Amino acid sequence: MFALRRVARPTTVLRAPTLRNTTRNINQKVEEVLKDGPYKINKAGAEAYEAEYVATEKHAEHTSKLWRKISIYICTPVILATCVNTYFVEAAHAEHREHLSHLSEEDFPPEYEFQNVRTKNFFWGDGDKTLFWNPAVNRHIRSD
Amino acid sequence: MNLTLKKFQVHPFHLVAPSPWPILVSFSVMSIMLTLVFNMHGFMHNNYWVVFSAIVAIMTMALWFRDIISEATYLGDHTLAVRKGLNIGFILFVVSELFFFIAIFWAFFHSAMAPTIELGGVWPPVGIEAIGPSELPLLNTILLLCSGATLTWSHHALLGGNRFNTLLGLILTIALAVTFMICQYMEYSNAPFTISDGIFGSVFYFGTGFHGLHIIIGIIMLGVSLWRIYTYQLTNNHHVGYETSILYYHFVDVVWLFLYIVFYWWGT
Repeated sequence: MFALRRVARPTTVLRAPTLRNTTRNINQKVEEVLKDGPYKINKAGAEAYEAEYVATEKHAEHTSKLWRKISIYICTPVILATCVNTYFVEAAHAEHREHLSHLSEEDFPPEYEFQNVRTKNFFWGDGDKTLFWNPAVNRHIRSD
Repeated sequence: MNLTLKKFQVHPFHLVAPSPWPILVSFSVMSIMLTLVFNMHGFMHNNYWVVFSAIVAIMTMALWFRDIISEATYLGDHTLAVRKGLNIGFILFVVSELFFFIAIFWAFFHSAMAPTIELGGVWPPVGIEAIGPSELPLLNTILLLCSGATLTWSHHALLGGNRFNTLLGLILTIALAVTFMICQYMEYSNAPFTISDGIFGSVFYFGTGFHGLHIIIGIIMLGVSLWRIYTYQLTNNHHVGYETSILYYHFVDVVWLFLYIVFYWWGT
């Protein structure tokens, strides 16, 4: 009995005026869309799009030429000049590293407590050296 | 009625099809996180699982991006409205990245503006030989600024429909970015301090390391754009992927300027 009543209910809902009106409204909308064609031609919109396209292209050509000139005539010499400066700075550093690499553990500058902190092993290598470890300048000297 | 409706798409939006990639990416990224935590807690023979999760994540991302490229280039799903949505989504992502870097700078200023007594009350701490602004970082700054210039050259060449200049400018940009990464590697492997040298080492490698990681991601994004321009997938009025890559690269470029000013100049 109970099950039969449950089946009967949806049919009453379908006959209800609200749902019937909604279905009719959707049908009307679809017919309207199909009458005009689903993809209406928007001439004003198309013209505005094209105008923007042409303007962008024209503007872009000028901007591209400007940044090309900046890249070639400003960036290249500036990079080269900085390279020269960096070469001399790094050559001095390399000389310093060369000197440090020959120092024994006793002669190496002493370190403070906050340096070379190890609370547990690293999960790579021997567990003691950080990534990018350079034995010439990075030493882990244990005092014990 | 349903038959008629299915024939036409009377809206400009892209209704995405069911896809396995979101859930796979979620699980593989979670797996990377979990296996890395296990590693840091000393679990043995766990490296295989880190590498495995990373491979799954990278492969899933590649397949997901392949699907998006098919939808954009071959199926024509990316209408003007969809492109607008993609752009807004990417801008929100860059905003989240911005706040990530703000957190790093916060950590730096918190430690550097009131150095603790253990550091000698000074910044850089006693016994630390910091890297100055007139050394390798100066060249790095110039390299990144110039790559920004060549990228603008390439971008506007694409807008103007000039294929040769687009490709040349983009190749130069990638070359400059790769040179930057080589310089960063040289700086790291010759630095007199390490990541375990107190808060100075931690925050220095935290900031510059994550920036370097972002430059690598930028190089990959620009590399994919280069390939897509070369194969005519991107055109002068439809190149969302290239535009988002450009936005991302300029963002990382600006982050470097702040890193240079704060970490290398003011901080030393």
